[in-house]
Amino acid sequence: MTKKGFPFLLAAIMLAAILALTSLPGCSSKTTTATTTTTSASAQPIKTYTIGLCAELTGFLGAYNTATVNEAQIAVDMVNENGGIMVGGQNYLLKLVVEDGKSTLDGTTAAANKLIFSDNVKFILGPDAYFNSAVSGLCEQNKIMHIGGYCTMQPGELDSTTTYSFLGQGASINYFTGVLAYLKANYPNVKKVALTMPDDGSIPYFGKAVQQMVQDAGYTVAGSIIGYDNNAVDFSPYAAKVMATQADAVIACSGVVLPNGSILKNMRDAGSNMLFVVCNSVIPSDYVKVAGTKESTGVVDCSACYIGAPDPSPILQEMITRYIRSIGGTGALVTLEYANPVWELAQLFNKANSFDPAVVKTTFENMSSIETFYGTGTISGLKTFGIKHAVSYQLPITTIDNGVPTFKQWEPALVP
Amino acid sequence: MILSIKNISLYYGKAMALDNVSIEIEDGSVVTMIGANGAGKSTVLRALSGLVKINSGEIWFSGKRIDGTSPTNIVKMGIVHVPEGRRLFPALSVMSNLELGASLRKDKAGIKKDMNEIFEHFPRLLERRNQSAGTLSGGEQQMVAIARGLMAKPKLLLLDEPSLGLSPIMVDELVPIIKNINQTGVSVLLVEQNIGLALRVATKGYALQVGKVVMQGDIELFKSSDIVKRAYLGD
Amino acid sequence: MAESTILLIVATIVNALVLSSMYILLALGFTFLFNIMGILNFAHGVIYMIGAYICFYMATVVGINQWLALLISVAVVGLFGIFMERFIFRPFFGNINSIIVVCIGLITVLVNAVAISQPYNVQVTPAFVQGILKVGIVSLSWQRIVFFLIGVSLLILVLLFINKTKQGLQMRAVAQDLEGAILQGINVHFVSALACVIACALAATAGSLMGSYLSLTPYMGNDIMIKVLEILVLGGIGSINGVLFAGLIVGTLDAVLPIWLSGTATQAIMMLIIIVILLFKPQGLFGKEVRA
Ligand SMILES: Nc1ncnc2c1ncn2[C@@H]1O[C@H](COP(=O)(O)OP(=O)(O)OP(=O)(O)O)[C@@H](O)[C@H]1O
Ligand SMILES: [Mg+2]
Repeated sequence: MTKKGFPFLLAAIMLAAILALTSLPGCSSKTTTATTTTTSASAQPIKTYTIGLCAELTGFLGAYNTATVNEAQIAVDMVNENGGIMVGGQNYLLKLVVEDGKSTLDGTTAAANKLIFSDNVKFILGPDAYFNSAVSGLCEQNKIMHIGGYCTMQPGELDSTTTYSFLGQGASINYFTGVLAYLKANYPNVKKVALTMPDDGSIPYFGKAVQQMVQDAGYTVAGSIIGYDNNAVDFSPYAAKVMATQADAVIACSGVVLPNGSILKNMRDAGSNMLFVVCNSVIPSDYVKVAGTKESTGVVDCSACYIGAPDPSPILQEMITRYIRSIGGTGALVTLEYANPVWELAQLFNKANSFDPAVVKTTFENMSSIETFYGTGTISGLKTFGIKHAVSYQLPITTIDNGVPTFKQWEPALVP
Repeated sequence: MILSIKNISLYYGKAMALDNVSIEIEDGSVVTMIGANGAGKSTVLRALSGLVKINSGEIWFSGKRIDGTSPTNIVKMGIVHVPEGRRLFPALSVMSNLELGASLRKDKAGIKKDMNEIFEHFPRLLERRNQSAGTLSGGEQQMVAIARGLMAKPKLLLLDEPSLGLSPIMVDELVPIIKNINQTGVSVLLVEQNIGLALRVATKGYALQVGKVVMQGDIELFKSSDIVKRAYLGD
Repeated sequence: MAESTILLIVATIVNALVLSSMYILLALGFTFLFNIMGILNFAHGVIYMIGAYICFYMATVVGINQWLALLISVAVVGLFGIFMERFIFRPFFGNINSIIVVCIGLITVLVNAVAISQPYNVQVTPAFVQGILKVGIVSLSWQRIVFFLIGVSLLILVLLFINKTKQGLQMRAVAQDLEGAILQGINVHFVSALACVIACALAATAGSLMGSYLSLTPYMGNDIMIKVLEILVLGGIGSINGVLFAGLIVGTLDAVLPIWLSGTATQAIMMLIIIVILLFKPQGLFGKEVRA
């Protein structure tokens, strides 16, 4: 009978541990108050203005988005330390409130609802991947301005019906403008390419658009697009499928590091030296972590991930320095897919001189260029999305051989 | 005395199952314990083999105090319990069941010899040595259970209702089996509700009623007892 | 036959065999614990994950030979098995709710500990075996072939152990009738600890190899646990033959289905196949009546 106490004690300790762990930063939303707090000491009180960020902090995008959210926070700090923004003659510091979409559509819808109705924000940045379809519609209904971090071109993500939504980073479809130009110039022997992509519903839209771009660039697409399950235990079957196409190169059209790195690894393990081209947002050195040093070879990477061009712009240099100081790492940046929208929104507030989403959005639409961490971005997208709401900018091209990523060049990547 | 149970009491939660029970077994004898359903007979055996802990009292075996000893060590000391319902390993062969009876023995040759001896005594088991125990008849299963107990080379064999579920003919077969075991020097504590069997093999008896010893003594006493006659023999 | 078809078939056969053998190693350990201690050890997946990380850590950070790293991982995780038996399974014996709570606790603590301590979310253990086997147009990684052989050899060893040794016999006895086994003097704690050690060692082996065959993530155990549960449901929980057979089916489906189906449909079809089989055999392919 006296033994009864022990199991209870152990269970209690476990529970305490679970609670302690789940309340660690990064697991739940950060707390927020709607708008103004004043710093009393200064002569002119500075107010804060809260903007929302919808990100996938947990689930399959968790690790990746945790890093991109860190970048966004650094961008906010940079804005604030440069004096914040000025609207209506009042100085404001920006405050970022983050909600976790849990890497699911339902979770992202809930996160966006929370931002709109509980955090009361008027401006939402993010999310990533195909999750924008859960946010764009809500923002349209509630007249909330939305600058997404990615676009898989599914209906409702970014098109003529989503007048409050923008694509704030030169991501997804415009990777291909860059990489196809680079391939043409540097790998003239490549004629036939295989395409892989996560089967998350975007193949008929994003996949179709990519396939068209690849064909327009003069390449033969081997078979149909090879879709894979993001949650597969073993990616070897997909690698086998890629190798069986006997193409000259495979282009991994999107997706996170695990599937792409695994397919690369499996191909190299089985002796294939097919050129491996990636157009997604992964720090090139992360492929080496997943695929192994020896296996990470013959890779061309065109993404918004930056690994050390010789001449970074001052704000990019600032971002890198701060990232290393506060997060660590070697100066490789993930994609700035939330940081660039932050930087853009700060400029828009100043320029529009308003916090009214309708006013800010019109200001954005009427601009032709905007500053980003990767240089001056162009605002375009009418042909691709049916609405001139996308920012594109030059992208870094990196190659990986024997586990060593090397920065090659900046490639202009305009989305038509 | 090979076994002395001194004033043991045992509770299952708050319910008292044994109340101040004392039992003694002389070396080389067959003692029976009778009693109605729920009297606490099996509980006594479970306490002896270390499956349950007693709350008070003492158990002595061959001059050593054994209450609190682990079941493994109790088997090692020579007390082997053939439980109610047999508890064979149904998917294992008869041979494997017998081998498991000898789990604590290291003498391979001795084990083999004992197994052959057992097959001599139980020719029916020899025929079925490779059959899985679960597919045997009730009588055959009881034989396997007893034989498995013998494989441990017991000094004291605890038999819990071996007649349970057997036909009268099979029950009759148990009499020589138990007597033979006893003749090889093994003391036996036989728990029975089949009073006829108990009276035929035991030399001394105990009667349990709701956890208490209500009658004890020479088996002749039991044969002539009105209470026993009324309760068990139906006349 | 077209060249590409041959390439695909051969690669798929090898993939199916490797996956099946690894799944079976894990499901077998899980079954051991279920049969011998009546425990559904949902933490089996994280033990696999920990095994993978220990091997990875030894091979990359410490920098010793991978095979040595594998042995260390197996030894450490095997010892952890003894700890689990003594301090988790024994105190909670027969208390299913508590065991589930403890397993969830163990999963949460270990997964988070690894997730927090690792700088990268996904990593890989360097190849154990280098080189490529080339037969005509087909090329296969030697590592895969070696992993399959290791998986099969371990399976045979374990099956021999259970079926041919005294300890193995005692394990089966405990699995069939716990009290009956205690009464034969069998040291049930020792047998349980042995089962835990074997189950954990098998999980650590599978984890270490998969850390190189696939990759390491803190969540790898959860993914593989789903496979193990599929196998158990399909094979009939508690049945070793069921594990072997269902393991082969699930591993093969995992290697074959993605060839025809794209992405997410794979899991749905897999579930459908399992449900259809269970409609005809509700207890699983080799299921017995559940013990009371
Ligand atoms: N594990 C247990 N928990 C609670 N009570 C128990 C337990 N085992 C037995 N009992 C109770 O203890 C009492 C004695 O049971 P025991 O099995 O010793 O009786 P018995 O004389 O062997 O009966 P039978 O002839 O039916 O086998 C009964 O009232 C029974 O309900
Ligand atoms: Mg009884």
